[in-house]
Amino acid sequence: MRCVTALPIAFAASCQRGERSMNRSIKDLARAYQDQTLSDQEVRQLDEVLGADADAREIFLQETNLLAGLEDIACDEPAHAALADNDGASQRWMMFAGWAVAAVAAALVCFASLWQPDDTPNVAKITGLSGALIWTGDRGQIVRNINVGTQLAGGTIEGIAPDSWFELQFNDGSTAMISGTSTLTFADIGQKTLRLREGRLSANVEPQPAGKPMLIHTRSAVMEVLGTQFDVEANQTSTLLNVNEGKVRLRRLSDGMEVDVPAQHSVVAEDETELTPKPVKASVNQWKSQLDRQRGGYGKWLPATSEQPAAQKAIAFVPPDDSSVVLYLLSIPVVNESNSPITVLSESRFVVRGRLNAAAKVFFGIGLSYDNGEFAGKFRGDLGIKQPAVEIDSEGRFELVYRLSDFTLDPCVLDRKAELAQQPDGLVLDELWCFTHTDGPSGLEVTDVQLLPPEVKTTSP
Amino acid sequence: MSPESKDQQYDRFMSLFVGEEKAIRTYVRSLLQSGQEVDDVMQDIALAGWHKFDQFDADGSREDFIRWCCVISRFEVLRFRRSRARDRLVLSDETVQLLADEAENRLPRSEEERQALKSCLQKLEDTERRLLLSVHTRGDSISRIAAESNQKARRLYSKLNALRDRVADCIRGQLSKGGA
Repeated sequence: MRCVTALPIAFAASCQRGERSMNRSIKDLARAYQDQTLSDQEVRQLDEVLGADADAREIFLQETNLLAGLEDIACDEPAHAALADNDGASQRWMMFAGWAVAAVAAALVCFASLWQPDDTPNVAKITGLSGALIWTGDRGQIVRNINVGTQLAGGTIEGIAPDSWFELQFNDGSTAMISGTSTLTFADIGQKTLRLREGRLSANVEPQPAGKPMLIHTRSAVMEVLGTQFDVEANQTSTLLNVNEGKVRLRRLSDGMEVDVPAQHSVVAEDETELTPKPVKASVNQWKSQLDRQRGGYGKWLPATSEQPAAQKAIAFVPPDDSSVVLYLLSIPVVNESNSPITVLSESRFVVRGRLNAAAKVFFGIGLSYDNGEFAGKFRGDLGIKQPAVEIDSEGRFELVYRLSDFTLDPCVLDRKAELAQQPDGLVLDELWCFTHTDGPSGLEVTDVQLLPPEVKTTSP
Repeated sequence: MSPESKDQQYDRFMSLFVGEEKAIRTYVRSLLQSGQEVDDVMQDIALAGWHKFDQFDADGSREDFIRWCCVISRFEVLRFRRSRARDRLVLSDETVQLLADEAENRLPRSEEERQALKSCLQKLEDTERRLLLSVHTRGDSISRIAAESNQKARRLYSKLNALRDRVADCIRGQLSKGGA
């Protein structure tokens, strides 16, 4: 497996918050340069900064000295065996399936007593979970009190909130994870079959028996794992497949057409469109929501009127572990027309515009993955700073800015902190959500979200 | 005072070069991307230094020798970079020149950092220390170790950098207290 440590760079001649964040970027780049994992473009950008900034050179030399010192000590000591956690699998394939449309009814999680039929073999076990989830076994029985380590015989798991997260591990070591408002049905009767009815799926797939590849079904396509590393995003009408390494075979359900997609190519499976793999496009660092054209996410979508832009309205959500709390929650679909990955940079910022009935704190979170599709973590932009209630104008409108340098790991994934990214910069944006926690309905609506690199000024929708 | 014989000159050169080799290597390493490259260049530096040793002040101190060797080293590093066929882009000569200037000025600091590094490594758990050092073993790489240890390279890299951060913070803490 190649090490894909793409670390996009954000530099500014003057950094606002900045020096600490900029220093972190130089530090990361210096390490990656010495680890020889920077792309040519990143090396050029690093070169440009080092040529212009003495502080950057000092940091670069510090980090280089650190790594060189480790190198010398390593050379003086006996060879070291491989390390820390062995999570029990070899030669992994990566698969990523993205979000789909259709709002999910806000249902509370119902957990009943654990049920397992004696005659049905277990095919997987739960290896991680958080947030609001519904588990239905293969006989339609809702299961309560599922925990990490619970054995499963196959069934359906539903995440019903943007911060929902669930991971299972098949008996052969393959893992599958859903994030956000997603519904996944799985079975393994000699051949693993997954159906992503809606939402986002990430999986590490072990080599499968000959003639029995893992099958992943969405509404519009079926995929067989042929290669090593690929990403899939699916919605109600189309499936986007990006292949990083190896090859993946995709069959479009509407007409049965098949195509093999080679490495560094992508294809969109959609009715009445050409099914031709094309070279994968480079990532982008800017993004703007398209609520006027695209529904989806969590919440109630409000179409544009002559007086108001389209909006996503927060709806009530009661956390399963605390029924006394009512949050007003929404998520915005993260899609862009070019299908390029959207990468957040160390000095990026999110600008969120919307409306409230009254001033209230607006909490904001993002879900990120590595550039190979692997889940990297969920981060919150409101935990590290004292955020006052947002100011609204006479029409209830607000504009908030969340700087990536303020983001920290979401408490819902802290138990897996060691396995996740420590910092959000350089990672790919998958999802975002916001919510209020007030005594009653806050009237939270979001009309526009923009992701901006540091030097770009905001533009009102 | 009679002029030095060639043998005496050689003995003096070797005494100085071997005695200050660590500092010279630290300097050269700051301009290159791997310890292997440093090994290759050090031979050229030693040869060039010996050939030019008659230009070095016979009464010069060890610090003078280090500075003198840094000038030679800079030239040899740039020559080495130009002579090598590369499959990846590296920093420009102009940037390396700037780094060379500052690397020379911070040699004492670099040595202090190296000393602090040794004690800071002792504060890690054994598994953490092994992880941190394993990827710096000659001929090894993060991706290979990830494959061997059945880990995802990305996760391994993340763990590795977290450990590097801890060690770096420890070093800074020690130096701010005034010693390793």
